[in-house]
Formats: sequence, structure tokens, C-alpha cells
Amino acid sequence: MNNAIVLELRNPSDEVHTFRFGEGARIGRLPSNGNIVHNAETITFSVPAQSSRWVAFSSTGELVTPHSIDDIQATTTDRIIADEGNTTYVPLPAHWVTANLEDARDAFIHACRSSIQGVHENHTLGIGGYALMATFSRLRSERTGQCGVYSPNALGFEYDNNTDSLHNHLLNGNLVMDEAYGSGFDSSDSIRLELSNTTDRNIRLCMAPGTAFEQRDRHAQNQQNVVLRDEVEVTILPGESATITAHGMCANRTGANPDGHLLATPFRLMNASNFMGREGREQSDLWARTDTTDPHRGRM
Amino acid sequence: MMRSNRLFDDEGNELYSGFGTISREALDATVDGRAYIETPTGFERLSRPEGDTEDEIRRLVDTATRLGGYVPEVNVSVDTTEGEEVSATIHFPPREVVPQKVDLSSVLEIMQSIHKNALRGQNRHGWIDTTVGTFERNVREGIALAEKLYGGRLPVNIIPSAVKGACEETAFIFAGCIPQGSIHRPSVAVISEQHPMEVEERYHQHEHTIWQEPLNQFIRDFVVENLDAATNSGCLQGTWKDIHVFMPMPQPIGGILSGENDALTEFCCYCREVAERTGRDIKVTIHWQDSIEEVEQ
Repeated sequence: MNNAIVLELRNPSDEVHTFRFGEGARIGRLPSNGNIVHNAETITFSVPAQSSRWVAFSSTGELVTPHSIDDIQATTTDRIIADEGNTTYVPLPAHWVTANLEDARDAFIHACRSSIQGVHENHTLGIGGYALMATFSRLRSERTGQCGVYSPNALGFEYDNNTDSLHNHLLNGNLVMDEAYGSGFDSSDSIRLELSNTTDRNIRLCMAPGTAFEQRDRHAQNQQNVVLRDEVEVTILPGESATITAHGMCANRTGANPDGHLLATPFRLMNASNFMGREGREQSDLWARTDTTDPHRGRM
Repeated sequence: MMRSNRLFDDEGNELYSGFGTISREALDATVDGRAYIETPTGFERLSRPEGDTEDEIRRLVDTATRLGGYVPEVNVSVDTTEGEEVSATIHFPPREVVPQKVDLSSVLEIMQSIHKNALRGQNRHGWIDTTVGTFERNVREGIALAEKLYGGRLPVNIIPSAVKGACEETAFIFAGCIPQGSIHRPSVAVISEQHPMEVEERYHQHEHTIWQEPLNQFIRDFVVENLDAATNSGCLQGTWKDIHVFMPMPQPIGGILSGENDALTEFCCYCREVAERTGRDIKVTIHWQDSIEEVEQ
């Protein structure tokens, strides 16, 4: 395989700077053979104030290093529809990112509930969604200084409309979630689900890679949200219960180790398999996507 | 009478509106002789190209002209049984957009107020109190606002700027901004090459940058570099007639020499040389913090 070209994006300014490489733009010359590398598709990178960031492109111009969710450009809006594919954000007062952590958490949860439409939260059914969006919006706001409630797409998530998804089965009453527990991360049994099929027919459950779970309890809000690494596909017979263990990955580098009850969300990390495609580096690559490795980390 | 580029079929249904890309269906109809144009006397069939090669080419060119396009190439292929076949590529240039007339004197007024605003905050010794970053941001946001007001990029050249557009007649030089090639501006550099599986994304924090430092400390270097950039600009040789230099300081009292004033003097002299050499009138106006000076050329 040909070598990748490594670039340093230098931002000595005192504000976040966005670097944009247009499609076909010249990226640079490979030092070893002098070949010019051109960018395969338009891409932007966000670099925090007074920082430098290294990114790499293959010899054919494809991005090799993870594209952080902070790199996703978002435009302002006054409301967000959960299943629309827009990259938007509802601006919030800038001082919220420096507020006391507890206050900031509450403020973002409240703002998410009033700004995002189409999330059918029901803790009795085991369904959440707002806490995930609130945590990711707050963290992105803290890292970038652009304070707001972000749409799922602007946070790298998409609304999972699959009829066989866990969220959909819970919402439609096909399955009852007796228990959902997160314990540790990046291990084959870090997610445990106990599900019952209360219908009189077979229920096929298909959870795609990247399916996201959030912490249920308020005292566990400092713990990492969890996303599924591999696809899970099972059929639960009528009236039967099943315990499913799955490989959960930590979605927030700065959070504490998961050890608590989870809620299913309607959201799924986009292109999760791609972001976790390098064997042995799945967790660090995922963090590079969701949380960045920069020194300006958000608070969990 | 205004020429119509609209095409119709034999029932009067519109095939082509006369603007934008022509559809395959409309082109086929034209070539097959099934297309009509509207004339003062009614619909008139666009004649099907026939006759000898020369006539056909003429008719094709005529058709293209009628439709508002032009013919960059004509292909003639020879078939031994059917004779010559002529086809043409018709290009339709984008409609000419009449640029909005920009009143440059009002743009200048906006620039003056941007500069004044960016320099606000002077301490009791008369020194500018603003930081490099705040000054930079104020100028940048002011220019963006002016562009927004005038509906797009202004017909002026701005120094420092990353924009490599056409040379205009008017130039605005914000001498107190960070020069374009400076290491203090965001930049991209090739570091190395590595195997894709081994590449790690890395961040590191700069220990010290000048953006939060007082502008005062850097004014001299910035002014000298920005005026150097203006001196070396091809636009000065080619087009500039009205140059406005925004200096981030009060007008010096006569006789006081400093690096930035030397640089300004040299720049003005060079403009005079260019004016003499090219025969073009070049007016240089210096916008000091407290006054405006027109330099005699």
C-alpha cells in the first residue's frame, strides 16, 4: 500500500479555525517520490485555538485519519427535526460552556428537549435520546466554543429508521426491555440486554454497528455513552425472553467507565464500521471521531 | 425587437425556454426539423440542415446563433454511400449577469469606520490597547460585513488577504493586520509520509502565540511587511489607481523617523515611480488614526 501524506494544520490564532480542502485541490507532494496528491472530496477540519493538528491523506487523496464530529460544518437554525439529515445547530448563550458542570448539563438537556423534535423519549419503555444529544452538543460546544444544540447529523449520528431496530421494537411494543446495563467498554460483554417478546409472532431484532445507548440515571451522567461495535441480529420467539451481550465501545473519551443502566436511543453513529475499521485501534479511532484527541476536551 | 430563443413543437408546446441547458429532446427536434420558433408572423419551422456541406455548416451556425449559443467545433464525417454528414457542438454561454454597481466612496467610508472601530481602546499614553487577535477579527468581520452589504466580493484588492482575484483599480492596505505570509496566521505544512495503518492523528497545543498580545508590540513589523507586499504586488504595476493605506497609529509629528514611517515613505516613492513609468495616475491616501493625508504624486 502506498504511503499517506501527513499534513500539519497550524492554528496559532486565539479562535477555532476551519481549514477547507476543496475537491481536487492540491494537498501536497509526497516527500519520497515527489508525486502530487490531490484531494478526493471536499473536506473541512476544525482546529482549536493555539493548536496544531496532524491529518493524513492516502496517495489517492482519501482521508486516512478520522474526521472528527467537530469538523462537520453546521449552519444555524431555530429548531431541529431528529430524523432530518441536516447539519444544523440552535445557538445557545456562549457562557453556558463555562457554567458550572451540573448547571450546564441541566441547561443542555432542557435546550435539547425544547429544540429537537421527533425524539419519543419514554424511560418506562427504556427509550431515551435527549441525554445523548445533550451530552454530545455540550461537549462539542465546550471544545469549539460554538455553543448550541446540534442536530444528530452535526454530531455524527443519524436517526435509525430501521423497522427491526431496538428502538423501533421498544416503541411499538414488540419487545419489552427488562434490563439494559453497561459495564466497561471495548469488551465483548460490555452491553447486556434482557428483552422479552410479548407478541405472538417472531421478532427479528437487528442492531447496526454504531447503535447508541445513553446512561439512564442522573448520577451516572459523568459516565460514557456506549455504542455498538458489531452488528447484532437475533430472532426472539413469541413469548420468549433473551439475554443479549454485545461489544460496546465508549463514545466519550473523557467520561467515566460505564457501570449503570442504559436506555436505547433512536440514534446510530454514522459510518461506525468505517471509523472502527482498523483492527486493534477501534477504540482510539472512535474517540478521534467522537471526542477528538485535542487538548481542548469537554467535561463529562 | 427582442430575439426569442424559445423552441416549440408543431403543436405549439414549448420544447426549450430559451435559457440554460437545452434538452436532448429539443436538440433532436431541431436536428430533425421538428422544432419551431415564434416570429411576428407566427411559428416558423427551423429548417432542417440539408444541401451541401458548406450550407449545412452555415445553417448549423445560424441555428446556434438564433438560440443564443455558438459553435466551437463542427464535425464532418464522410460516409461513402450517404455522402458527408455534418454535426456541430453548440455551446450556450451562461447569461450575462450585470454586476451590481458598487459605490466605492461609500465602501471607503465603511472601511474607515471599520479601521477606526478596530483601533478603539487607547490607553492614556495614546497607545492602542487592543490585542493582535481583536484587531485582526474586527477588520476581518468588518470587511465581511461590507461584502454582505454589497452582495458579494468588493471590486477592490485588500492587503493582507488570501484571496487571489483579479487586479482592481482600488486597493485597501490594512497595515496593522498580520501579514499574509506570516507564521502567525493559520497555515498548512507537509510533515512527512507514513503507512496508512500507522498514521496517528495528533494534536498539540502551542505554548505561546501572539494573538492575545498587545498589537503595539508588533505594529512596526506588520506595517513594514504589509507595505512590502503591496510594493511587490503585480496589481500595483498593472491596475491600481486609488490606494488607501490604513495606518494603525496617529500621524507622526514631522521629523520623527521610525521603521514603519520609513516603509510608508518608501512605498509612496515607489508608487510615484510606477505612476511615472506607466503614465497612470496613482493616488495614495493615508488614513492615520487621527487624520487623513493625501500624498502628492
